[in-house]
Amino acid sequence: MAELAQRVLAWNRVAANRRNTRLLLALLALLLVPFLSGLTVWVYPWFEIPAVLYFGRHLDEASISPTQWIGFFVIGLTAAAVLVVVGGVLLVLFLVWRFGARRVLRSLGAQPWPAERYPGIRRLVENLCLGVGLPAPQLRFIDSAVPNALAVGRTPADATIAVSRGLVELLDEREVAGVLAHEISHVANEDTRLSTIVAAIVASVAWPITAWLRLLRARWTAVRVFGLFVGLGVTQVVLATLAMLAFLLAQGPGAFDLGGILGDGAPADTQAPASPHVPMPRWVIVGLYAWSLHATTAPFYILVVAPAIAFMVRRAVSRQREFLADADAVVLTRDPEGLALALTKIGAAHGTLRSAESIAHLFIAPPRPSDRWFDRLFPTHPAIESRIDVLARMGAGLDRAEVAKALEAGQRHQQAQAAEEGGRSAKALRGGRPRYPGIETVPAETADAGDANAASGTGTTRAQAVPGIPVYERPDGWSAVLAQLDVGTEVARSGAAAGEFLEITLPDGRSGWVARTAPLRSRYEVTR
Amino acid sequence: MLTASVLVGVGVVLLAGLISYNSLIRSRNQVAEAWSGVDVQLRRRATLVPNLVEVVRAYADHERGTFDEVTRARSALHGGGGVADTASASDQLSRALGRLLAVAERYPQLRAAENFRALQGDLSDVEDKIAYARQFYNRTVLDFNNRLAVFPTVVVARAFGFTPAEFFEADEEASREVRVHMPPGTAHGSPPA
Repeated sequence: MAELAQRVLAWNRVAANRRNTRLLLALLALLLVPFLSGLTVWVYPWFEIPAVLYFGRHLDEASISPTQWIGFFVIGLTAAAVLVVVGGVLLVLFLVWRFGARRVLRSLGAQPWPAERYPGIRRLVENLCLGVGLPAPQLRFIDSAVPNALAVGRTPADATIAVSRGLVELLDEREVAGVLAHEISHVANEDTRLSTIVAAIVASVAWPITAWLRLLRARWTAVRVFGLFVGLGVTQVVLATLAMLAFLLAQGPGAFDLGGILGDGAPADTQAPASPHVPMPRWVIVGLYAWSLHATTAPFYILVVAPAIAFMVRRAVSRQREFLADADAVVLTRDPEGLALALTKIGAAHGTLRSAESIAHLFIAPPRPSDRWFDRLFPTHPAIESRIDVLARMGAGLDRAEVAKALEAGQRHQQAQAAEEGGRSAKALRGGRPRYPGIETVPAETADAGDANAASGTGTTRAQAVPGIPVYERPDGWSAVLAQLDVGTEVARSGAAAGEFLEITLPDGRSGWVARTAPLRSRYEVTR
Repeated sequence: MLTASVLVGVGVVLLAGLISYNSLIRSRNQVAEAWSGVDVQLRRRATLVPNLVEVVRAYADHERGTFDEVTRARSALHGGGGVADTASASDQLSRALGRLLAVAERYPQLRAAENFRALQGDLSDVEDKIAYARQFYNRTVLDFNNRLAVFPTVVVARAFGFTPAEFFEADEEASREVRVHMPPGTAHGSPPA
């Protein structure tokens, strides 16, 4: 982060991001042109041969004029193009179904919004939507400690925003507002529709390689062998054509001089063998060379180059839309620092949310931080640091102390998150009732008879590992902090709980609230 | 050939004019719609005011001047008028409410009263809503006014006598006074204990 970084205007960022998206889409469209023409080279014989066989029957073979040949060629190409387009439409329909809001939300285990636990969020969403003139989207809850949020739905009218428990717990009000504004901007920009379109284009470009790979990985050996033969066949045809092209090039332009074969439309047998030689025009020769080269390189382009570029463009579009949603969110909330701090916390928590890879671009931060080389080279989201950097340059800059605090809060949350993850797998093994991570409740047998509340965890606990667990005045994340627990501080648990908070009593007798997820560890002592 | 190209030219110009006209109408309707969004929120605030005044009066009856000021500002807002008038009346009401809340600060019993806190929360929420509705309104106005100034819509706008819409220019300070008094914990998180 440069000290003298240039200030940026949110509005300019919005305009720049729109422009970049258009450029990327144009690139994708350009990519499709050689792909389709390359594909038709391989598909059209299947239409042309029957056409020649059918129409050609009525003709004297020798009398087929170049015009007629061109006619057959056009018929073949058109049919091939129609086939490709119909396939594309079917693919789009499939993808619309696959990325349908309901399906995505079900896969994430989204629940109705617990309004009684977090009453303010819905109002925040409504207020922010007033700012963009949209109906308030539905709100759904993902019961995970990993802080993240996503927007789904093809139109603003049927949009849904899903927010995880971790996000509401970790962030304070202005940060949550920043995240919600980001998601609402996704809805307002119709990003889900855009990403569906992009996904459809990418899938239609990638299907030959996908289909081929699927053949190779099929369950039945016969299918795998067939896939192998397809691969060999394509390679052979390519090599043969290349060899022929090389041979023809070595022969010089005369090799393509087919004047005597194709003729000039006159019946061949009326021509005297010593008919005047009609040389082919130069453009036809050049065209034939180009066509052969095109046909030869097409498989390589279709199978390797096009899918690779399409994948990169898709990821680039996804990143661009993230920047755009960030900028739009700032236009809406006028608070770049809120979103920047939210991103700092989310980035520091660095959790993995169980979700399909294909919907990664819908979240505010990558739900499954990955270290695979292509994810690092072409991430779905811009690096959180660069997003924060842009946000820092939009407003009055970031307060270093605030950022440090946010970073620490995020890191502290990461431990709670990991504990929950661990607790969940342990629970799956034990099959017992869920326990809150980091806090071990007093075993019932050690609790005395008077302590009827043992299950909800009355006892002495000791702060573990991370110093500075905040004790809040009230059971919510931005009430005043009464004290910070150092490692080893003994606190008594009253057994009361509210939402995500547990009540504790400090050594000096004051009582306060700590997050359920705070890393406290029981000493198995019961206070009376 | 010449007639054909002249016909095509005239057709293109007519089509451009038609599209421009439609986009202007659509944009103007959007401004009106956005304004009604602001209006709804202003009305909601106006209905909150009497309750708030009554609650404060129950504890601080002698602060007449402040009550009168609030009531006057509220009826000025009711009077209607153009965007600029409404904006200044709204600012005035915000400022008067800010003073009312400042008065309330001096009465601990009042601050602790359940209904006062609820009203204060509602008021703060309405101020937020007004701010966001105003933002959207101003954005639609910007869009409409831009159309009035750029080619080719400017030609159509001149011909049909479209006039620019007014921005809702509010004093941010005035509403902030009311908004910062929001009791902690009502924004989100757990319900107030």
